[in-house]
Amino acid sequence: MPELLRRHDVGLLDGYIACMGAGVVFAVALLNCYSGPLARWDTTLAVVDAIRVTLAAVLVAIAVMFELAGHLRKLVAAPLSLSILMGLAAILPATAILKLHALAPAAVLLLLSLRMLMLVARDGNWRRAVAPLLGGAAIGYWTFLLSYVDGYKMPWEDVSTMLGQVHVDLLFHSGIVNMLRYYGIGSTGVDGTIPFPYYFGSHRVAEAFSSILDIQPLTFYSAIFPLLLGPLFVAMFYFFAVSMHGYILNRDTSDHQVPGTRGSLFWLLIAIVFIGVLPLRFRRDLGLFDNVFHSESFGMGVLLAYLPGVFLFECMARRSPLRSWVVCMIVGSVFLGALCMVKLSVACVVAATAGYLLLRLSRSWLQRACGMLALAAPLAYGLWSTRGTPSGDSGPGIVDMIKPFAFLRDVIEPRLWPLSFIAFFGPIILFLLVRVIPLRARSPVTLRVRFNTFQLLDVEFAIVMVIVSVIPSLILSIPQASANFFSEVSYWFVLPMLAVILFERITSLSKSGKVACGRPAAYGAPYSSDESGHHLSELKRN
Amino acid sequence: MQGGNIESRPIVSGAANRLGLRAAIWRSLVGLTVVCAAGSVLNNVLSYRLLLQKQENQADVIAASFEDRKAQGEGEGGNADMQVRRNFYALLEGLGRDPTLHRGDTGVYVADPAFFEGAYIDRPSDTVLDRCAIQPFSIPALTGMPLVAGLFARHDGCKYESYAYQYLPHREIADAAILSKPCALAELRGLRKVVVIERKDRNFTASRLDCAKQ
Repeated sequence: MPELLRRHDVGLLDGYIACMGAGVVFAVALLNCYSGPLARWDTTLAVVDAIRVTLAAVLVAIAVMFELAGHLRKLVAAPLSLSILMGLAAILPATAILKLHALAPAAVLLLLSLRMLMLVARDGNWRRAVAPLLGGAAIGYWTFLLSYVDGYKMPWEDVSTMLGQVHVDLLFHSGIVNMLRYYGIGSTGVDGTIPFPYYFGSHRVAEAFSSILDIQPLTFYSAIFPLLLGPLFVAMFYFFAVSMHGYILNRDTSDHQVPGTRGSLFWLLIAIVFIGVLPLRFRRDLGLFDNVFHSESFGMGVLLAYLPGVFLFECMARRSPLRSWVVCMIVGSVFLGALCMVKLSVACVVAATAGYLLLRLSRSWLQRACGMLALAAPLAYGLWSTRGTPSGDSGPGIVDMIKPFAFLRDVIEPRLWPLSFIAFFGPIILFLLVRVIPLRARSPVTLRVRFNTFQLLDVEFAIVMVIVSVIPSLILSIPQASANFFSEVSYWFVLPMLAVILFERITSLSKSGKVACGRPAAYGAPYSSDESGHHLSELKRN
Repeated sequence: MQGGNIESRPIVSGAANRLGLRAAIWRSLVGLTVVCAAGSVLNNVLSYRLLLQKQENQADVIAASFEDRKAQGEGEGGNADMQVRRNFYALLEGLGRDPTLHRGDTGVYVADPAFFEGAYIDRPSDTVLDRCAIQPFSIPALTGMPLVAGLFARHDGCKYESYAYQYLPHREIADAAILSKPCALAELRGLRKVVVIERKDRNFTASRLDCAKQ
């Protein structure tokens, strides 16, 4: 039996099915946009070909992540993190190889479909595949809709170009990609190739993919990039949820458990938190922009930022100290440097959160000092590379941008401030309530003891990340409401954590009800020592 | 002892019932909340699906009108502004597909004042830029070559702010006459060749200049 299907990995098979489903549904919905008169345009044929290649490459990357995660489990300390890294690294070579022959994408899709069927058949329970498939499909379709409806991208880029209705942001970024590609200079190209200080990581990625796919950067940004980002983002969202789930199961109970995300409830909850319950016409009014699916650099930044989050919870779940701090610091510093080149705001939030965790988890002051240096160096480089010119022609400096609550004043109507607060902080508040209050009410172990033994590191992680991401948003006034690029980072980290904790609580609530009614729980609840066990002991005492 | 056990049974049973009732109420509330949340999610998906359908229909209508015009030949009828825009961007896309122009030494000069007024582009509602400041981005984005224009020397009243405009040199062109000389502007920007785009009625032409040979 393959590693993926062993007892510890049944949850990953569900994720595998869901992420594959998300990718396929996204691509099918996108291809369906070209079924009208546009299907006869020459440029459309090139786009459709690029969609096929991109879909196959994305699915290969997802397959690498999940297949390796099963195989690496007993070989390395952080199998999920390593397999995610390998999957992300595989996507560009996979695209280049799949572009070589017209039949290659179809062949890969066929092979992956057979592989999925084989895994589900070996699992022996076809009905269990339905919930993750539907959940993944719903999330995939939602990412498709968000990408093309809410923002400035659209599948019919050729039509909007001919009408002069292309969004300026698409033109701006496409121009930069062309200047990098043909002139090797980071410039907008609006008046010669005058360079400007900026982080060009996402533009380099767009340059590489548009070159391989042989399409214009404008077409790539409009139609292809969302397909590249959406399914991979869903996969990272899932992996972060799984790693956090593993941490909770192994920290809260004495027996070593692994995340078991099987069941329709988990997929229903993850679809609900991902898509959101607020009516869409209010979301933007309340300051929720879903920038992940609109800003290419921000989307890539948050996607990459999940990686250290997965690594953290994987390591904490194993309860074993890291063997090589030096290697971790070097790798972390390089990673943060790369993140700075993709999106500086995301890198700042990640660095600040990592700084807190460093202070919490390090064993000596030497480790802390070296770690802080490893965090500060790439951030300093990132800030230096986007610095303005001494002449003062480069727009507002950081001091000029300090205008407390300008984001609220400029973007959100005062009458909506309370609702905006609830919309943004609702997930973290709900997470804290659901996570902490039951522990405090029912457990004999105090919160202080849990804090000292790192059993609430997920809570600390969420609180610190929200604080460090919200403070810049509230203090700085960046043109075009860009302060949101700080606060939204924590929002996308809290959502998977919320889905996991709601799943755990609702599951344990259901089990506790069965216990109270005299029916034993079918299997050990994660909170059995705190809740289910509590009822039994109370009855025994009586 | 036995009597004690018999007496405690109703107490245990009552406590269990109370706990069971409380758990049942909680389960019902949680279930209702999850169902409502799923309904909201479905509403969000369907409302966005409707919006996408509208966009798709618009795109299909426009694409069909383009095809009809192509089939009937490019006449003088129809929306003149739309036709001019279409001709302009078709030319830019054609330049963008020409590999001989992408050797890192060519710029684009637009000899059309309407271009610098933003005549061929719409302004989205969510940007700080005016049409005149949006229009220049169409050249590098579609042709793959930089525009050579001397934007800050034109004094056309356009606010070139944000979107990296602030990094362009403001005062390097002293003689305004240079603005009508494509090769002089190209050389100022370190480029050896320039493609000059001119408007003739509703059509646009592109001519290539090798500044080194002039």
